Amino acid sequence: MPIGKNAMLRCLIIDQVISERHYYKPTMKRIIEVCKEQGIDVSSETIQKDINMMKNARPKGFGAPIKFDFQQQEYFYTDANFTINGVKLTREDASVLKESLVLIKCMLRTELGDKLRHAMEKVLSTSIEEVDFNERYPILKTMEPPRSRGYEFMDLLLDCCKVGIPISFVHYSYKNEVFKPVVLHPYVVREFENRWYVFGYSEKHDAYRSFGLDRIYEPVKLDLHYKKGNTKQILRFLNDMYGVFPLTNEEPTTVVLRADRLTTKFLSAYPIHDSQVVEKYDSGTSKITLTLIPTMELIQLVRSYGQGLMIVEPTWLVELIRNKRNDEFRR
Amino acid sequence: MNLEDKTLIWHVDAHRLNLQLLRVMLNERTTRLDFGYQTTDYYIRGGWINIYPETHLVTSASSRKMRMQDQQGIVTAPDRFHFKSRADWHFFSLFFAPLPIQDQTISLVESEDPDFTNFNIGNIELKLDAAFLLRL
Repeated sequence: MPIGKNAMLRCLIIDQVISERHYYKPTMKRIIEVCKEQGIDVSSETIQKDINMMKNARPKGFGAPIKFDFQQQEYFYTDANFTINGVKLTREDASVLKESLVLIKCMLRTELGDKLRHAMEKVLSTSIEEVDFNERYPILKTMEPPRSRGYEFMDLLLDCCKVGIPISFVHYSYKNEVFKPVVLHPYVVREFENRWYVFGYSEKHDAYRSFGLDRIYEPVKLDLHYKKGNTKQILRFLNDMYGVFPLTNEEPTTVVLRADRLTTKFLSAYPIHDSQVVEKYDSGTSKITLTLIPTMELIQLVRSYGQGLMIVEPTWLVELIRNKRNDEFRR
Repeated sequence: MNLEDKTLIWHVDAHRLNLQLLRVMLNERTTRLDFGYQTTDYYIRGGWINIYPETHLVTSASSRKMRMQDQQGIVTAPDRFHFKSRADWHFFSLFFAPLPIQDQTISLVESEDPDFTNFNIGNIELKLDAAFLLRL
C-alpha cells in the first residue's frame, strides 16, 4: 500500500536531515524542529515509527539503512550515498513535477506524452508517494478539447520530423473539396488553437506548407532522400506568424491595428503576438503594432472583434480584407 | 534493384466523376488502391456508395484478372454506405491480388457492363521508375 502524503512528507524530512549531517547534527530534536518549520507538529514516537517504516524493504518502506549512534545521539545511513529519492528530489521538486504531470496529462495525449508522463511518474515513484489523479476536482485545469481526427498520426509524424523521413499521405481540402496525394518532408508538428498541423516541404507544391492533421489520410513513411529544411524558414513559421496559413511568403512585416477601448483592454491582457506593442490614446483606444507574417488566422481574429479592431496598415492587407468574404480566409 | 520484398507506391490522380484514385501500393502480397469520394448536388443528402464484390483489376502485364480481396472504409453491395449531406467526403481503400511488379497500365473494373455510377477507371499508368518505396 502506498505511503500516505503526510508520512511521505515526514520521511522526506528525515531523509533530508540525515543527508545534511555535515551541516546539522541529525538528531531526533533536529527532525522535529524541521517538521515544525514545515508546519508539521509531530511527536518523537511518530518519527520513530516513520524511521522503522523507512527501514522496511520496498514497497512497504524504502530499505533505508538507518542506524542510531548512541554515543553521538544521532541518526546516520550506513550507506553514505543512500537517499530515499533515487535522484535527490526536494519537496519543491516533487511538487513541481506533480504539477507538470497534470499539464502533460492535459496537453500531450500521445505515445510520446505517455512515455514522458511515465518517466516522470517513475521519478516521482522513487518516493513511492501516491500520485493522486482522482481528486474530486482538479485545482489546475487547462482546456482539454476532445481528441480530434488525425491525432493518431502524431507519433508517426513526430518520429519522421525527428529522424528525417519523408512521408506520403492523402490530403483532403475542406475548402476545395478535393483529395490530393502528397509527399512531404516534415519538419515540425505544431498546435494552434487546439488544432494540429504538420509543416514541411511539399513536393507537390514545391514549397513549404502546413497540413491539418484532421485532413490527412493514411500517412506512410517513404524510403526517399529527406530534404532538410531551412532553419530560418522553420523558425519563421514557428515564431513570426499568428496561425499557420500565411497570406504571403514574405518577410515579417509591420501590421498596424486600431482597437477600441474594450478591445484594447483584452489585447493588452492577451497579446496577439510576442512582437505586439500597444500605444494607448487618451480616450482608451489604441494603436497596436505587430511585426509578423500576415496569416489567414490573423484576419479571422481581427474580424472576430467586429468594429472593435481594424487593420490600418499595410495598405495591401486593408485592400485584401475589403475585397474578400469572411469564408475566403478559412482553411 | 530487387523489388520483390519492397512495397511500391504511386501517386496518381485518376478521376471517374467525383471518385478519385489517389494512390496505388504494390508488393508481392497485395495491391492496394486508395480512393477519395466527394458527394455532389446530384443526390439528396449525397446519396450512397458501395463496391461490387466482383470488382477487379486488369493489367497490360497479364491476362489474369486481379480480384478484389478486401476493402477498408467501404461496404460491398448490396450493403450501402449512406452519406448525410451533399458536402460529405469519404476515403476508402480496396485490396486486390498482387499485380506483376513491372511497368504496366491498369484499369479498375467494378462492372463489365457499367452504367455511369460504376467505379470503372481505366488507363492508369504504373511505371517502376515513377514509384516511391515504402520505408518499413
